[in-house]
This record gives sequence, structure tokens and C-alpha cells, in this order.
Amino acid sequence: MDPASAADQELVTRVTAGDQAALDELYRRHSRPVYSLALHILRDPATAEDVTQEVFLKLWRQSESYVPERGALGSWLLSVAHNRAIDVVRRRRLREEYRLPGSQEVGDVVADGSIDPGDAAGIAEMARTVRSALERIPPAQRQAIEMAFFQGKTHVEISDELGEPLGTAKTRIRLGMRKLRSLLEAEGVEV
Amino acid sequence: MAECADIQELLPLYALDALPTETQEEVELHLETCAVCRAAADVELAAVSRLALAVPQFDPSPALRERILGATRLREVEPLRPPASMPVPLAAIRQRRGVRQVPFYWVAVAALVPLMLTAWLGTQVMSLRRSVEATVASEQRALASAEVAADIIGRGLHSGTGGGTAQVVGTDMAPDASGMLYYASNQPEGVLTVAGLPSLPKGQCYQLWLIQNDQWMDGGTFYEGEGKGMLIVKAPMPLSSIDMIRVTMEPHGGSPEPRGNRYLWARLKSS
Repeated sequence: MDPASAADQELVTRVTAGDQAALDELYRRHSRPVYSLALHILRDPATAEDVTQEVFLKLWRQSESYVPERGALGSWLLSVAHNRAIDVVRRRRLREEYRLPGSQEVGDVVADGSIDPGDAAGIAEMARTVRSALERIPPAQRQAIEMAFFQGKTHVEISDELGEPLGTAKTRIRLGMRKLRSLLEAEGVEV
Repeated sequence: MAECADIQELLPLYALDALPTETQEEVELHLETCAVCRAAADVELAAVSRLALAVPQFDPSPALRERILGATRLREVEPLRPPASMPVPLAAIRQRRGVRQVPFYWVAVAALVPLMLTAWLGTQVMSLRRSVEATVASEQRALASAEVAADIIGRGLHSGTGGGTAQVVGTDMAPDASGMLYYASNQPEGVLTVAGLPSLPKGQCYQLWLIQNDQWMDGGTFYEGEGKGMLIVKAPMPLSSIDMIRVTMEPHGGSPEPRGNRYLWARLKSS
């Protein structure tokens, strides 16, 4: 276990014991990626904040739901945020074109003291690596993956929307994910 | 082994949650009993989890941290319950809202609704009248609100278009708060009544937001007295077309957009 994960685990143990300062510290470490993912999926800052709040209150109230053996805390928080945001999207039956609201990127963010700058740098670096890998996937494969992950669409919906045979949509997702894995591994990212 | 090959073909889609529900469940069933496929699925899930970082990074507002930490200082949210001041029969009606195919019952209920609402509003008016007798100009305005509320609901119920109610629930910032929004179908007016709200700090008010297609519109401001508040809602469109309402705490006079913590919410339309 790397030092950051070990520190997270210790904080989770304190959260389980009702230590609010530990939750605050975990919020400093992880709120930015959690909120960013929710915002990217939902495109609405207020709802993205609601989802972020749900994620951290779930950690506060049900920290035993996180099983360290199954992965890092950051991944778990993102997974909870993703599931919740996709639930919202599916309920809304969002079908409009995907577009981010105008706002500043991490590099332009003015620190407000609530987000840990050291963690932000590490997350920004990882985000750049993953984005770069995603951009190197053939566009049709990337599109299918993004429709599934960020818009919560099934391969049936993707094939309908793109007007392509079901098998083509499946193949694009499969090949795209294989390519993504190999690119991330080449960059030294554990997958 | 043929089955494993089939399952492993589907794992990238499974990890992305891009399979139809039935197929997703079939894969999960298989993974529970097959360590080889489980290991392959974990690899796919790890890759998919990295996608979550492939988004531009933004900071949430500083207020969110306070909101979350504030919520941890409060006790757990209690299960939804009707407002303490509501007559029991109306609560029973609400609990049965999901029930279908009980026409006779509904006819009886429909006939009782105006009577119960009138009785309840009468209680509210009497209670407020007693407060007014204890003087204070703000309470005189509250009495006027109660009477307008009765008028709006009365018109809605007797116009033949029917009316709607939405149970208002407190957030973690106001776990004891609850209330109702009453509105007449096809009317842009309604009445919000709440109880159990935290006392307002000096210079603050509660502000109602009407949310439609993720657009937040000002629904008016109100103040609480002993935790209770009432607001005559005047919307730019029929309230039955609003998706959701929320109540935030804002500076006196209200804000052009929501900035404060959220204390109440209700869903009007099922989405």
C-alpha cells in the first residue's frame, strides 16, 4: 500500500470512530476529483455539489462500505459518485449534447484553502495522463466509451444513437478499453 | 470454459455498466463463482475507474465543505414523516398516493380533501390570529398570508381542476423540518407551510427556489417564527410543471441565485 493510501486508510478508521477532523482531511484530499466527475456527468454545479455531499456523508455514515482490499479510497469515492451521478442522469433521461459549463481548470484554480494543494497536483498529473491516453484512442472507440461512462448509456442505446450495428458498438468499446489499458500501463499507471 | 470466454467478452461492457440490466446480472452471477473471470473483471474495473479522472478538474464551492461538516454535527435524518401540525387523515392520504385502482376510496378522499384542508387551514388561521393578538406587525402579515393561502387552495379545489400537494422534507441542515406545498393544478400560485426550521441568524431569510429543467427561479423569501414559516408562492408558470423546490438560507431580501445552505426540498413532478 502506498503512503497516500495508508494515510487515507488511517483517516477512514478515524472517521468510523466519529472523528470529524478526519472527514475534513479526506474532503481536502478527494473532494475535487469527486466533484469534477459529478460535474462532468451532470453539467450542473448545484446537483454536482449535492452528489459530492452524498458521497462524503456516505463515507461518514457508512464507512464500513469501503473495503480497502478492493482498492484505494479515492477510487471508491469516485465509484460512488459515478453511480449516483449516472442514476441522476438516467432518471432525467438526459439526451442533449454533452458540453461542460464554462469554468476554470485545475491549473487556473485559485486555492481557497479547503483543497490540499499537494493532492491537487498529484490528481491533476494523473488526470492529464488519463486524458492523454483517452485522446490517443481511435475517436469512434473513445466516443463509445465516453457515452457509456459519462452518459450512462448501454451498448444498445449507443448503437441506436450512432446508427450502427450492436456488434460494432460492442467491439468499439472492447477494443477501446483494451487500448486504454495498454496506454495507461505504458505510462506506469496501475490498472 | 466456453461460458467463461463469453463472459470475458462482455467484461469491458460490464465494467462500464453498459450492458442491459439482465445481462449485467448474468455476468455478476458468473463472477460470484468464477475466480478467473472475477480477476479479469477487476482489471477491467480498475481501468474504468481511471476514466473518472479523465475530466477537467474543478473545485466545489467553499460552502460545500461547511455544508458537509455541518451535516455531520447534526443527528441522523429521521425517516420522512408528516408535519406535526397536519391532521392525521391527510397524512394517511399521502401514504396512499402510490396506490392504484381504488376508485371508490379516492372518490371519498377527494370529497374529504377540501374539508380537511379547510379545517387545517382554519386551525392555522386561528393560531396565527392568536399570535397577532399578541401584537407584532410581522405576525399580522403572517395572518394575511394564511388567509390568502386559504383563498388560493379554496379556489384550486373548487375550480374543478383539482390540486396537488408535495411533502417538503428537511435536509441534513434541518433534520427536524418538514412541511407541505399546496397548489392548484394549472395555477401559478401555491402555499408553502413548514415547521421545525432552525432559527434564522440576524440579517438572514429563507428563500424558496423553483427548479425546472435544472433552472433555478426565485420563488420568494420568508422568515420563521418559532421554527414555523409560510409563504404564498407566485410562480411564472403553473406549479404543477415545476420539477422540484428547494429552500436555502440567504441574506435578508433574498439572493439572485442560491448561495446559502439548503434546508428543505420537495419533488413535485416524478422524473
